[in-house]
Amino acid sequence: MFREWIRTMLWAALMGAVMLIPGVSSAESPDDILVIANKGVGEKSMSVAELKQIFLKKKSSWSNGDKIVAINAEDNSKVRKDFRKLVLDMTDTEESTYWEKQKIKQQIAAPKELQSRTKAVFKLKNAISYAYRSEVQKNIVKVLLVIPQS
Amino acid sequence: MACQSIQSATRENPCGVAGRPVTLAAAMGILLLSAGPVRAQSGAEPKDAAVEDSQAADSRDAELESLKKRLDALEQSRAAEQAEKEALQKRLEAVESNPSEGGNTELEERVDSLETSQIEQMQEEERKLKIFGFADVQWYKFWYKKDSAYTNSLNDNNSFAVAHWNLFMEKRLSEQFRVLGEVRFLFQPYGEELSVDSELWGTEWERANVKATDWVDAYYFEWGGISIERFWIEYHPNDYFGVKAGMYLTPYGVWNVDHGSTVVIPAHRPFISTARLLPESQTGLYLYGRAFPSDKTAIDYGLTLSNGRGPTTKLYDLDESKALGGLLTFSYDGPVVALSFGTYLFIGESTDITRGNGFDAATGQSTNYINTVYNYIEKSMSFYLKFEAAGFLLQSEFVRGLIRYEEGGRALYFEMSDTLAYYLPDFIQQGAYVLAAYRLPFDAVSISPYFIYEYGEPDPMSALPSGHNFGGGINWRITPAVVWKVEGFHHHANKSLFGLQAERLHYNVVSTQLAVSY
Repeated sequence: MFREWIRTMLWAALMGAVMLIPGVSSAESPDDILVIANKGVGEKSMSVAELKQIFLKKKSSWSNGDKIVAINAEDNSKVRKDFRKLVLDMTDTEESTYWEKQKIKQQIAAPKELQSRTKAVFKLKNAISYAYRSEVQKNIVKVLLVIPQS
Repeated sequence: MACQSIQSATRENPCGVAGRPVTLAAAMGILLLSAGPVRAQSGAEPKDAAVEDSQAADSRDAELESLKKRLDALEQSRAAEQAEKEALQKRLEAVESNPSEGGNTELEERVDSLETSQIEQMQEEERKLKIFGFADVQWYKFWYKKDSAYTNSLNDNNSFAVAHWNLFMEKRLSEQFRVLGEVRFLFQPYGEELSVDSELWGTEWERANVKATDWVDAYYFEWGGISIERFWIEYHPNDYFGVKAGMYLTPYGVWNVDHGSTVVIPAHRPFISTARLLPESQTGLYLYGRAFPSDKTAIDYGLTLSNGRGPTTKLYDLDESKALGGLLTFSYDGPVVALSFGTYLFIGESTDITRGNGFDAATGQSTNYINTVYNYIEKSMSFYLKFEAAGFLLQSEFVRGLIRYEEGGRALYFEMSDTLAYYLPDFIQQGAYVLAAYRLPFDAVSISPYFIYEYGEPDPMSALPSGHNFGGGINWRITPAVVWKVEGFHHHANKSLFGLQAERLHYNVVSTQLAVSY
């Protein structure tokens, strides 16, 4: 009985230590943002900087030349706010200003917004979007990047 | 001792003879009553043994039968659970591999249908005709000395004006094709003062008459103008390659590309743009593309092939040669710093002619003639730099062009008489600006004070004087689509113009501009 208690305590201590390591604990959080793409997309992974280029429409095609279909979360959603902060490094006003300027400079608009992004990414060839880990059906899409919530 | 023992047992009759028989009788009675069943069992055993054995065997059989039934029931239940588990597993796999299959209940089908229609709607939205644009209204005032050269040409009364109303129409025809048109609505030529006598030593100005009578109710109105800023058809299959055919903005520097009053920081155009040191737009082809050496850097290239400059080049070219341009830019977008710089080189031939016909007395035939007004080769280059960090912006552009006239194509500067005329020499035109702005560190408002320095050296025929501009102001982005600017600048001429001393060419301007994008 005592040995079992000791074993339990040691296991709990080990798990606690693992939880303190940055990136390890957050990698498994349901609030992590997964960057998901259609399974037909050739890319296997992606950096945050590259993702920023895509969602600011500075980059518009995949490495094989196919056009990227970027899909945003709804403007006031929590995941959009988190994405804006972690990836675009912007406030909501800054992002709105960026797109107002791009409308005049390059005649381009922000990526379209959808609520059911996993389904859209599954259905649309060359699509890319993002969602919380808890919302993603991993079997139907490809995960290119995990953005931990810090 | 016995008596003591009994006495100790019954204190009410201590060693009394009369008490003993009562106690015994009671004890025997209790024994008899309590021993009754024992006596009966022991007394019945030999007689009921066979019956009891038979009953026990029946009971065991019944119990076994009951257990067997329960086992059968449990096994059946387990088999059913296993079958259900397998069925659920198969359904789960089907749903995971394709959500549109497997387990589509009515509710799931409705959700799926709704989501599909949202996706289709999103795709349809991409293909719709989009109408948007920018506009700005201004208040401004010029100041200059009483003996200034501008007293007869530059209105120094403070005035309000609708400066820009630009409308964009864009439609994506497919994933690779789109068209874009931009027009600017103008009041001009309303208010335009045109010289009717351009003799060197005397010029008279006459205001354009734009009054027209409304045929419906005989009320008059002033007609305005529409300037087509650009119209192109784009084929853009991927980042690495794209082509625009039509009329496009010359892709040099920052200002000419940014273009809109809500995008650029100051309220006034810089000299390099107003003096058209490079053509603002060109008609022809524009090939372009972008490569990504790393995830934070990009290299843009471009190649322009067009009619070049000239009085008719939006429609047709007055010479056979085509203008060529090359663009190369580099940009870095890091977490702290954003930097971009680049160059655009332009070479083109520019020609103007007059046509006519006359009568050849010698032959008696009518003849056509073409006179060259000017014909020159232009070689221009531009550089730009843009640096942003922590709210600070540094932006600079430089343009320099060499104009070399072809033989017989030198432009007339002025003509004194039929025998005395002056023609323009080859010349260099150039200009530059440096703009520094800082976005104040307030989250609630976006206010950027800025300073600008410009240098300009236009072509000898330009009405713009050569010199320096020193200016500054405040750019307040009230909302993402609304910008208010207040600025002032001083122009300091450094060369005489048409015989006018430089001191008479200085001027000051204050202005405020409210710009919106929509």
